[in-house]
Amino acid sequence: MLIPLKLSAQTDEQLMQRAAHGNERAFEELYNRHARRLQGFFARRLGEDTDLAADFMHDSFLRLYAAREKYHDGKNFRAWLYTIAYNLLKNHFRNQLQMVYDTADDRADDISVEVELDEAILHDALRQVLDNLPEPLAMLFSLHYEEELTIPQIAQITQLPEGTVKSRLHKTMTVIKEKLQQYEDH
Amino acid sequence: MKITDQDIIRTARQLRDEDNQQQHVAPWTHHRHIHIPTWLVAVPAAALVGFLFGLWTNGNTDEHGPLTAMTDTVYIQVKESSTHTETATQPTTQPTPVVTKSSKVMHPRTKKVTGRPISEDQIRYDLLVKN
Repeated sequence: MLIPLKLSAQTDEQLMQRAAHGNERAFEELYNRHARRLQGFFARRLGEDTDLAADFMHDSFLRLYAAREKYHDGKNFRAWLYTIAYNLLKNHFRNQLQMVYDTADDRADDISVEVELDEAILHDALRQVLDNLPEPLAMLFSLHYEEELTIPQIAQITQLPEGTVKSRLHKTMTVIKEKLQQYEDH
Repeated sequence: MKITDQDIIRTARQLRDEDNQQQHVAPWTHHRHIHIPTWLVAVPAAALVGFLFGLWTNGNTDEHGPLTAMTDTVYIQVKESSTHTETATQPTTQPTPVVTKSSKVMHPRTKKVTGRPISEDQIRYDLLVKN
């Protein structure tokens, strides 16, 4: 006798497969798992505009819901969700002329930056640094380190070569450390 | 202390968790419409379509059908041969003729013979004279 797994015990991909076949509860479970995190991602990218972040999160899930029947087995759910989210942000920044595509230097900097900070200061300092990070670098940092997507997934989402993603992530870390150096004297 | 990449990543995730905790997320049911079973829509819709189709076809037959089909009640006017109607058109009292000598009705000279009835052979035996 086959006993169906509880929805909460199923993977994102299994739930999405069920949702693609019309299971509303499966989609709701996916929403409950990822909505808060996705809204937080939007809030950080949009500068703490919580209403706009909620709208973007809502829009992302509506688009996902509308396209649920196109889901095929083996497709990574989170990569798909963040592709929708990334495209929404890309269009938003393009409209506001804030998105800067820095293609001048994609090579990794070999500069090793050393920072010495008290851990209590690091918390507030890093928040300020990340808030003021140029958007293309901040986006990659957020996708990789905050949303914990892999480099191949980010390459798929941003449609950049994996090597470019890696080098930009390295550059991002260097820029962050350079900016953190300003807080060493505090 | 010397800050490493791992320190930055760990702190960035702490900040992420703090941000996420502050997010107020509406439930998915708030976004989606109430789910109605398909049959609950299909059955009344089919009934409505059938009703409208019936009305349409009924209207068509009425147009070309007999006149009586288009009316609920047919009233037929029947003329009654009533004496009242006739007397109403005529004077209630007829002028009575004045009886004068001149206007006496002249009877024919041949006086109608009265007597015993005519026999079957049309001979008045009673008038025969015996010789």
